[in-house]
Amino acid sequence: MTDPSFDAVDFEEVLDRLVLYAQSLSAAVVCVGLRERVLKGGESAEDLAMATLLKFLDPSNRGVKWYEQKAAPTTTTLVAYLRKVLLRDFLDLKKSKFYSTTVYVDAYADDEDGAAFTLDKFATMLETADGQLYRRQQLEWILKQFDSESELKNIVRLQIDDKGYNAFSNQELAQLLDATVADIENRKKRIKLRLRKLAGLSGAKEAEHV
Amino acid sequence: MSKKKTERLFDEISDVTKAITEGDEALTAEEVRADLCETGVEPDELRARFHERVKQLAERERLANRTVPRSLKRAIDSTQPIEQLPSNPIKATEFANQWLEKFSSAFVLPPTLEGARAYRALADLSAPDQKGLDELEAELKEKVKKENERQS
Repeated sequence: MTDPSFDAVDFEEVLDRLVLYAQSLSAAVVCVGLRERVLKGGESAEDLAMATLLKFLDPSNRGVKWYEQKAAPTTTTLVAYLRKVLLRDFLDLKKSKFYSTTVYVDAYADDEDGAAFTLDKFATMLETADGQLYRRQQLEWILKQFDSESELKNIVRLQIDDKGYNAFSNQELAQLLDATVADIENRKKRIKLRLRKLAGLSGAKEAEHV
Repeated sequence: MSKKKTERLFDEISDVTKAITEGDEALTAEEVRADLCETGVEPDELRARFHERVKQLAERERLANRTVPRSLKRAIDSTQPIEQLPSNPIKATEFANQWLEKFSSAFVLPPTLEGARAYRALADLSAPDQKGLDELEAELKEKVKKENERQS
């Protein structure tokens, strides 16, 4: 088996882009309702991205490899591949026993330490009337983070509601909000940054609790 | 039953992630670094940590008398600290060229340049001196503005 050339890969850039992706994943987790103490003991976006890249580079790990039938990797193609690996690992981690015993929801605390939920129970709870109420509270909390910038808040309100995520295109959002597509793109960039920061803050709060 | 609900929750996480990462591929490496800095991640520190980890992996392979894969060698070379040159002469030349390019690339000063002043005199500045310094600062800012306009 030939060892493919990695001359066209800038590993520093791959790592940076994976961290950005892991931050987005953490932000998505916050958006669906798993915030603050919910995923206690979680890894940071940097840890997750680095673990994925090291898994790929570790010769003793055969699970994540660039197969020779694929063209020689570039920074872009390797990032695309590793993003899939990172997503799969992230979700597997959340399903693992370690996480399933450390899911907490403050709103459902029935003792001083808060109620422990397995992830399965949490997913089930989300589909009940109580879960819908929790989702609405969570959505309100997210929207509150955008109080000072109503132009961003309006987009968030349209994109996420208590039923879940709404996939409006930029053109649709531009029409609904009477703005240009360029404006929407610009606002979305600011929203993304804000959500990534929020996810980071949630992580920091988790760390304080641990 | 709850497994399906968990899968639905994961699908939702995937969908929101897709929405958040939309357009990220178009960001330049510098823009990615800037975004990371904004969220409190220090990219140089991250690279240094990663570099140490890949060096350890390579060392483990060498100690076990196994060949170090090209991917690992490339990872070590492309995350090398600036003060360490790669051992391979071709890589070293490539590295040096990249480093030198940084000097020849256009240097743009920030448009919101602020002046900083320091005085040795014990007394307060006189009005004419203050005026003279204000004029010098304004002149400097004007020069920077013109230079930035010329380069862009």
